[in-house]
Amino acid sequence: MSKLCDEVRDLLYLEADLLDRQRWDDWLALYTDDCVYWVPSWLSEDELGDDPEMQVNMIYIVGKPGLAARLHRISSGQAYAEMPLSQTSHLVNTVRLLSDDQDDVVSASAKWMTLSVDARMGKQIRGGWYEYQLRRAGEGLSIAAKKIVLLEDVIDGAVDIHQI
Amino acid sequence: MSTRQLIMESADPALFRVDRRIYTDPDVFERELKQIFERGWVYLCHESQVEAHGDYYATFMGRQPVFVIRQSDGGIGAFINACSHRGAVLTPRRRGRARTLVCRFHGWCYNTEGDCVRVKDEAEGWPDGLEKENYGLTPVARVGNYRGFIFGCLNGEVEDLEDNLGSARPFIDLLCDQSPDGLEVVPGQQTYIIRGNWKMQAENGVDGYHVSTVHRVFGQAMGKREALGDNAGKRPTEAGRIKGSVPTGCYDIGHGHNMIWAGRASPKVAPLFEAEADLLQLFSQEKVDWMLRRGRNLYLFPNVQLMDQSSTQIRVFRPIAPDRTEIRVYCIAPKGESRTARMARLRKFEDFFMVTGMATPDDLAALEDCQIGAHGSQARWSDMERGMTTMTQGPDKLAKEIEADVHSSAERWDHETLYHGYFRHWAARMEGQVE
Repeated sequence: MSKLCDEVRDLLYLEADLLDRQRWDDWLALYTDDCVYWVPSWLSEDELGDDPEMQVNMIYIVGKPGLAARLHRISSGQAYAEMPLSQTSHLVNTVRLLSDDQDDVVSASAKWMTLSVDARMGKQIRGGWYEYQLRRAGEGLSIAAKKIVLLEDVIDGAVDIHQI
Repeated sequence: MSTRQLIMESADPALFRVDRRIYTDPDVFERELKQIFERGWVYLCHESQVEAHGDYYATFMGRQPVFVIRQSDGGIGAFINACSHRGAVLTPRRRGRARTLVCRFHGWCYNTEGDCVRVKDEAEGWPDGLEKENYGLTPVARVGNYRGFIFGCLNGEVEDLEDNLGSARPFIDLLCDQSPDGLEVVPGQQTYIIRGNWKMQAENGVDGYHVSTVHRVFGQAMGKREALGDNAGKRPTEAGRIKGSVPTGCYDIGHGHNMIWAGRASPKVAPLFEAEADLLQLFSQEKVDWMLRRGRNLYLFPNVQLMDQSSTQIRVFRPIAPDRTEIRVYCIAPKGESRTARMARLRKFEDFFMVTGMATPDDLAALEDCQIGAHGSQARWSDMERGMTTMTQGPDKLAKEIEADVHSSAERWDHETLYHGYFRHWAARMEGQVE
């Protein structure tokens, strides 16, 4: 494996671990200020949304304040659905580079699966894949864009950003 | 048990309570499917979802699978979704296009009028031959289209859709009249399952009383986002509604329909505001105020809610079991609105109305807790008395402005009198007293 691939894989593992450990501020610090966080909706059973601005998405956040608002909701202890907060474990796997380090931008993909344990819903397993645009800023890589494909098109219960 | 025993009401003392068994009892649920969902009008889809010849939309009426289809003459038909031969569902998808519906089991074919047009190996094997004319699909007895919203009824002996919608029509018109080109369902949707009775969803969607508790955290999250400098198409409109600092009200509309409304704290940031001048050319100031200056959650008995507040939503529900309901949500929008307005509408939709958003998960959790609590049968009654002594019989001034002849009016959206007609209608339908 190339050094770059190791670096990308380490970042993705770190991101997943920070979510599971509920270290929200450290997680948010991995993102660029102008980050795009996108979970497309399913247009039909097998057709994924492809125009986030003009379609209904499951989540489409542009810029860090939007992510901070989501974190506020789940970490405040005041969101009905997230009190008590569900516990999660992410498995991130099959990390692949989709581009070389060109102009300090790297594209990568990975598979994910998350086990959530929640007082109301019990155990839930969700999964899909990730696509990243990573940007080199100083020594490390930051997340400039993350697309999360959630395979369920009929969702049993609710889903928040620490569960995907 | 008589359905009427499940509701306790009196005018003096002012009392309105419902037995929580209505949310849990399997016999009540079975009766609802039969008497309400398979005997009366139910919402099916919006006409923009079946735009061209052969476009179909598959759904359910009670337990019965049906599909809606655009026919060759431009009309809209609906059929039981089962091949005449052995009953296989004919639509491979929830939505699709098929001018000929081919049963994937034995290859029988149907046109968009429901006629059987091809039978594999038709010439041999049938004892007395086979007449395809006798094997058409079973139509849904009545299909009605109110300004683009398509409803069906499995019982031919039912009042006309317009009569059934009754005084809800002027409120539906407030949505339909937003664009001269009509409305369209925007691509993208969400379907989710709740662990609650369908009536829990019906009641939650028009419950103004929970907003300042359940959605306080949503208001805080929005405040945080704005304080951090975010304005990416998500302009502020939420605060006043959630804090309760704007005028509000609710209506018991009749026929089981009801509605809550709340003044918009900053109407100028609503996606529709760009159309104000055009709307004033066509409609009265009072009607345009209703469209632009008051957010509304309208419930149409039994299975759809039309929301027009921070964004615009069709929310359809399907009862699966006493404690399971499938919800489908769509963003509906005026055709021809600007890209900026459409984007603002969509982002607000995602914020609030999606089960992956920041408000709907909390609604679900609250109603699911009510579902659990409803099993506490020794604590039998739910209380819905708030507002009984201050309500107005008939329409208030605002309802009169758009000629909505509602059954009762209340000056606050956190009053509960809007549920009374809904429960009375529900009980009458369960007893077969009205269609």
